[in-house]
Amino acid sequence: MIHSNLKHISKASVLLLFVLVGETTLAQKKQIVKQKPSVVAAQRMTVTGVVNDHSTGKPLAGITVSYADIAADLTDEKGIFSIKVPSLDVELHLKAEGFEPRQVSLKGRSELSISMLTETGKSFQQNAVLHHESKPMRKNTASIGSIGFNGNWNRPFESIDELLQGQVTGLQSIRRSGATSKGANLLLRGQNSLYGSNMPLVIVDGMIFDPSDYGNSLMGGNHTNPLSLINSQDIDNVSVIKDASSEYGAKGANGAIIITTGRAKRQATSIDFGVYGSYNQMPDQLPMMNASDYRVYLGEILQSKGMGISAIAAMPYMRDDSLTNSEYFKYHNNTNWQDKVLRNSINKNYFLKVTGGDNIATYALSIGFTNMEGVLKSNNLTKYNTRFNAAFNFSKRLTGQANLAFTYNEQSLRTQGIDAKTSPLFVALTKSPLLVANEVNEKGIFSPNLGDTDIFGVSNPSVLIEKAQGTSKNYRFAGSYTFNYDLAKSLKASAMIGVFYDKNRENIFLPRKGVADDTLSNAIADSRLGTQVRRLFSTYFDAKLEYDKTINNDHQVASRIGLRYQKNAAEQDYTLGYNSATDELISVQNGVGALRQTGGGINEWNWMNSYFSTEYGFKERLFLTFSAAMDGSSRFGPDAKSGLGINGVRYAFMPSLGAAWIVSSGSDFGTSSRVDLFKLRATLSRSGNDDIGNYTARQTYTSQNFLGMQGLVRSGVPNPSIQWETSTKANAGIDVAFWNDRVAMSLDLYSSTTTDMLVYEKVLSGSGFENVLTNGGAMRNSGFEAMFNMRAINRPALKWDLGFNYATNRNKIIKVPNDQFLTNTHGATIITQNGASANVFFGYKTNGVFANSTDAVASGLKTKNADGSYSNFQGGDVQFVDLNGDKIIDEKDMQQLGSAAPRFHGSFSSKLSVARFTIDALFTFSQGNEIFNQLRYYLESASGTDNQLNSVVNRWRTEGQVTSMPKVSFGDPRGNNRFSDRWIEDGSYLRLRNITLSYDLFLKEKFVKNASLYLTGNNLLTFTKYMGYDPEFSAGNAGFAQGIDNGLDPLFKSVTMGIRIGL
Amino acid sequence: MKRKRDIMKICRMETALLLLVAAVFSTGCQKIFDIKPKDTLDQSQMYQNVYDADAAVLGIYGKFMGLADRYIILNELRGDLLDCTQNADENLRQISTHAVGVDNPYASPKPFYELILNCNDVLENFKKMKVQNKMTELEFNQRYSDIGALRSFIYLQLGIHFGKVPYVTSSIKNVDEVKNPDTYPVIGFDALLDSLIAFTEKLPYKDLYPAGSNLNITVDGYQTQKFFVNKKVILGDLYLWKGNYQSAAVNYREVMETGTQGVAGGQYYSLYKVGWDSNGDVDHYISYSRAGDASTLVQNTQWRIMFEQPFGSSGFDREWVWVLPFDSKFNPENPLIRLFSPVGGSYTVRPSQLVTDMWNAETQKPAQGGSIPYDARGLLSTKQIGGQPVVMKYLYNYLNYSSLLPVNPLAKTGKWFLFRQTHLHMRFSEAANRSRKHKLAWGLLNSGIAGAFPAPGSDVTNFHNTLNEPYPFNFDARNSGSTGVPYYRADWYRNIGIRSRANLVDLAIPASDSLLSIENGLIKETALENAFEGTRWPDLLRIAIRRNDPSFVADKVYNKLIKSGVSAGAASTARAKLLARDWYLPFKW
Repeated sequence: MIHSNLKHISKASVLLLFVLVGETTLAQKKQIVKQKPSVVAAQRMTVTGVVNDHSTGKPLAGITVSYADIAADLTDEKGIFSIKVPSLDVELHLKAEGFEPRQVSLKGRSELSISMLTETGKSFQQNAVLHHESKPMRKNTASIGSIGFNGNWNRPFESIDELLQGQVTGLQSIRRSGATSKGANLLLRGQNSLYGSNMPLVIVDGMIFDPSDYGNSLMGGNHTNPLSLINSQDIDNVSVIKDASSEYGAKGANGAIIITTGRAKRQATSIDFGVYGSYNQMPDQLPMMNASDYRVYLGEILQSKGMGISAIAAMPYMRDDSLTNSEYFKYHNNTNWQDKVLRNSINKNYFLKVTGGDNIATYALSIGFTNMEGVLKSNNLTKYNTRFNAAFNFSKRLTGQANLAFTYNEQSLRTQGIDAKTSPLFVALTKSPLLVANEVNEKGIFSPNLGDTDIFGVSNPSVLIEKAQGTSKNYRFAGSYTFNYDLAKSLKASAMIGVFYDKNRENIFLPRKGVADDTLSNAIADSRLGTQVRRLFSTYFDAKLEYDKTINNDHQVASRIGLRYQKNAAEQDYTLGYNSATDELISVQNGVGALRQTGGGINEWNWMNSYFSTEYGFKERLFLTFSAAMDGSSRFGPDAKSGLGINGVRYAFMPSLGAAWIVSSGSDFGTSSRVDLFKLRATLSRSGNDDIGNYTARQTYTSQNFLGMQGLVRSGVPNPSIQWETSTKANAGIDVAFWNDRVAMSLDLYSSTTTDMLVYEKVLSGSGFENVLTNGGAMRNSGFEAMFNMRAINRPALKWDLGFNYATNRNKIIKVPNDQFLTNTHGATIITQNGASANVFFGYKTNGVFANSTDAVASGLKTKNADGSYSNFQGGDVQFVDLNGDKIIDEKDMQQLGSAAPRFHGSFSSKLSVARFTIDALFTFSQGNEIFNQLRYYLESASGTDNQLNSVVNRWRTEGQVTSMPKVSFGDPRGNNRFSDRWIEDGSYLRLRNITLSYDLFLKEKFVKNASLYLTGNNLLTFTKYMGYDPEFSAGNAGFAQGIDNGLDPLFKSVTMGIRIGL
Repeated sequence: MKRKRDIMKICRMETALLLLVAAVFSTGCQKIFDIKPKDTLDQSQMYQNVYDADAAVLGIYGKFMGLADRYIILNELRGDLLDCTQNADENLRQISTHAVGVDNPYASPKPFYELILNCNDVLENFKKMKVQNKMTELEFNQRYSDIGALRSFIYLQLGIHFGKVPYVTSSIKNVDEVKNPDTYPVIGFDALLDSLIAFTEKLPYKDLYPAGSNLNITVDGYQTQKFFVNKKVILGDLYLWKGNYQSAAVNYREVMETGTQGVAGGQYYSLYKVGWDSNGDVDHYISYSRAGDASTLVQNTQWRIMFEQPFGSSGFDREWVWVLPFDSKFNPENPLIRLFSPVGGSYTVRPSQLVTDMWNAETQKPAQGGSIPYDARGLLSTKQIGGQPVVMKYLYNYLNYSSLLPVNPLAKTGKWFLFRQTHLHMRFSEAANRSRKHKLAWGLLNSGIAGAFPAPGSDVTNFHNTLNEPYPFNFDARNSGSTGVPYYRADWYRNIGIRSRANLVDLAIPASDSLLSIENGLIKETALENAFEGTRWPDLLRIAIRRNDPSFVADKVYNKLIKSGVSAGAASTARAKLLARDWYLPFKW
């Protein structure tokens, strides 16, 4: 049965091959006959061979064996083929559906025996789908990672940036938070820029896809992730170009991710349908103090504030007599507030994909519906997506493609992270457990109404969940048309025109009841209302001429020259209102007129890139590539120091060179070698980063109010020599495959140097400016990457694939102004220093807590007070390390506390197929990265009435007590909570990122072609010493924000069940 | 052969394509990459007409407002009238004790230069506009002179506080110029004064924006005329610092005569003339509703009201020369509430014990029931709130003078006081005194011209005046009284003198030394009258430099510090530092 099916398929594929290449082959033959009789003679050499299945040893029929575009044969039932070749120094290609393609060097042999592996998807014969072409990995000179998705049928709730985690060596994907569709921060081979973007360039179906979130969300801590608008189930292939991305000119410094979405692979109509449901588990809660511990703590903190014992005892939460204390029931509870804001939840997804067509046009149409609920109550996402990809054959010479996609998201969101008034999770952690969510009267009867702000001025988390509102409606339309015209046999012209339009509308409302007031400059903000619209409109044009020719069968030349142009406009408009008449009036126009604030911004920028690339291949064993791009951009200053000046405009010139040599194909490598591939490759390239601000080179005037009048003042000093950051990359790699292609491994060594790096240079006071943005910095990343894939077991009914990715990167600052500078962000201090790596936490080291005051005073250590005087430390204060020995703990004692960049990171994968069952597991790991646990900083600072972590119970309370937790002290006068190693934690982790059990149903029904069941677990196991919710998070895209846990909604475990049916 | 041809063909094709691309680049690209910002104004769109010029002027003044707290802290806290409270941070304490660290934000010259650079840009572009006929000659003269004079004022401030400063006169157009040290020629205070005088003297227009000008209007309830710097006052100050007393007096005198035009009336006789008006809201006397009864000090009107009065009111107009409003409806937020007020602010500075003692050492004029042994201006300049002394001058638009409570704690309305008629008279007197016109100076300080040159009888023809003196010292204050013959109501007949207006007895001057005693009296009187209004440190410094006597400033600061409870060591250190002529703040480059 299977056999006959295979036969049909292989016959069909041969037919298809003939349709595609027949004409050219014939044409070529004719030509060759006319001009090169010697070649024809050579072609009479015949190679025969037998092909068998590696797992069973049985011969395989229907395998296509081909030599270039010139000769092909199919194996017969005994697995035997026979093919004519010009010499015995050529390569044969073998392929068949369901099997890993193979390439065999004849090396003088005319009789071969070849084993074929069932598909692993990891061999060097797999095609990497690149921007202009699709070619086997073995032909690449650059370091490229390629993942065949074939539709993402088992993890429909993850966006592409999340799915890339652990898939490509050297690509660090750090998920931002557990809120729905927040996506991940992508870093390829470390951080290349301090102030510019570190996000790789994303190209979807040939068009640049801008993944940036322009402007800020009205709901703090939220990031709108445009990549989540690419439905991951539509994705066919992702290739990650780590070096030699010169062709993208001033946008290529961070590498490129090339995403190809699904299109019809055959003309017959095929329908695939998937239904999924997922259960999301509430994250493990942080251990906060319970009511009794908290009350003791509260008593101490009020005392340290200076309140007398009797005054404290008179507070309603201290008076324990329910008869005399009318507020007894309001303040005598033990509420777990995390329960009030976190939950278990359910996701749903439906997806339908239809492909088909005829010889004029083929299409792939997909539609999907997703509903995702986060683990934070009220967090919710509904997504509708559709995509239409089509390919047309208008005539023999004129073909075209259309890619149209539209995705619409509707989200309910809340403020995330550290926000003492409006972030539900943070308020839930800090809210006193003595209180309850609902109103309660003096008899202890609870009302259904939610309570107001409490006696400590803290919001009611339940109000933030249930009564506050935050919605985001966003969509992106992306569409492109491509036309190709064959000008001559080897010459093709093509043009793409594309557009995308993004819109994101947000509305927020925070009621007056239950939310702590905000203070404006001239009023108290009871209730807060807001609306915002953000738009991004981008048009894209790419035209090119391509030349592709094989000369004398040995020399392959492919060249292209083209021009890209992108025009962008981003706009943000917001209105904030305050104090609507009642909490029922929630739209922004109901705010008090005098307090209304409006604002926003408009940004426009253009980019033009002309590119040239040429690839040369000799006998499929030596490959040379050269590419160059010339970029112009509205962002570049007219006086840029590097680049080329043409007609008053500066252009960046970005060349690259690459070479690869397949040593194993040479006949001197030996025919008996078990090595299937031994390839050396190297590239040297230059690319740029154009994320330098849109108007930095221009002198602009901004409005300056003076009473109600508007004046105009200069908005800063322009830098007409502002330019792109230049990245020079060198890469050397080895690709090896052996054991009948069962083992494939790559090693890469690279160095990437950013020069002209944007830095803020301090300037003389006399200029009136603090600093100016210049291209005065430099930084280097160097590292090592290893990839290993193996078919460990290859039996007919048992197959086990193992994979391993490992990357280590060292970042080094080469040049910054004044050799070093400090950056304060999210409560952390970060040092950037020549010779050290970027983003090193810089603070105080501690040496425990003084057990008693005599020791503390005897130590002689002092700290400076706000008024400039000095105080001794006391018992229960933190003992900071006095680095410079002057007995004064001040900024001179700050030192490096570690970096947020991991020493190494990567993944293991395992895929075990037993009969119809497959278990696919992916482990990811990150080692040696430090985290500043800012959330714990707030929850262990013991300096206010906020609830604290259970660890604060062990605080220092009496003279002589030995503990690591300092005493409570209101307002922290001794600076025990200064930025120190108290909150720096090891962020290393090993995680079972994903495990999928799938089962292919055996179906007799002809109507249904195939059906699979999936059971997937996400984040099920995490091994880490990290004390926060989860060691994976990203506070922001800037390098300086890496490794800072600012309490965003945590990642969670989930289990997904799904079924896919193919018709 | 074929291969060669093919390669040739490829080469030809690629050359052609490269040429094509080069052609595309060399045409039209400039336009593609020339994108003007839409939410700010591109340079090429600015300075197109007089409205842009007005916007530039308003922008400068809007930014200038940001210097208010710094101006007061540097000019008063460095002196002896203002002191730190227990809430003051280290930086303020350093200012007060003259132990300023280089990183002290209040001592950063940067905000001054930010404004100067903006002024330079405006001046440079105004000149271009004039050449391109985008402004008329008159429009140019008015606006150019305004910004030029303001820049001179800021440079004078820099000179006073930093001594040697970079004198930047270019607008700094790009980063290369920013980084070029030649942009910042450093000059000493005296050379700076020369440069400033030369520049300011040449300004083509030295009057205020006239009625009908776009910049002399009423906006948001504020009459704008007094927002803008008075160029002659700045020029007078520059000459006074330089020691050119004649020119200083000329310039001050011109301002004193601002009202001397048109029909004689209240404004004519008392605008900037420290004249009586029989209306407490206008003449700002110190008086009592029951003569001699100290408890009946008039507060709801008279002297105190000048700080509360609205822009455009008669009393306000006649008193104030230069003042800017902070309105809670608009940014920037009033920083002076934060500085001074214990209600709704941080209360970081307070009146020094020394100034309180100075007021208490004065004696008021004997009235029915005897004299009152203190200067009542102390009671109106400061108040006790919650048992703490508070500088009130800046708070009268925020706190009710009687209840001392804000109407709306968040409505932080107020004013930044820069110059008023008493400054004017005192500085004129200082110049007159140094020009040997001691009696005139003494008169303006005490009981007015008529008080210094009293009439013996009914014929007042040759009295009440200094008409035998050359300009600018020739004042005519003749007043025949209602029965006098001939009948005189000369221009200055209402001038009553600073101390007399404050109901204080005349300052006694020993016959042996008029010059220094009168000068001391003038400086002291400015302290009593204009305390906390931002001129104390410059006054002390100016005299110390003039007399080459650092003890003039050192001892006063020392006394303040001793009385404020700062350690004697710190006070002595400050004194020693000032005695060593180490008067200036560290200039952080």
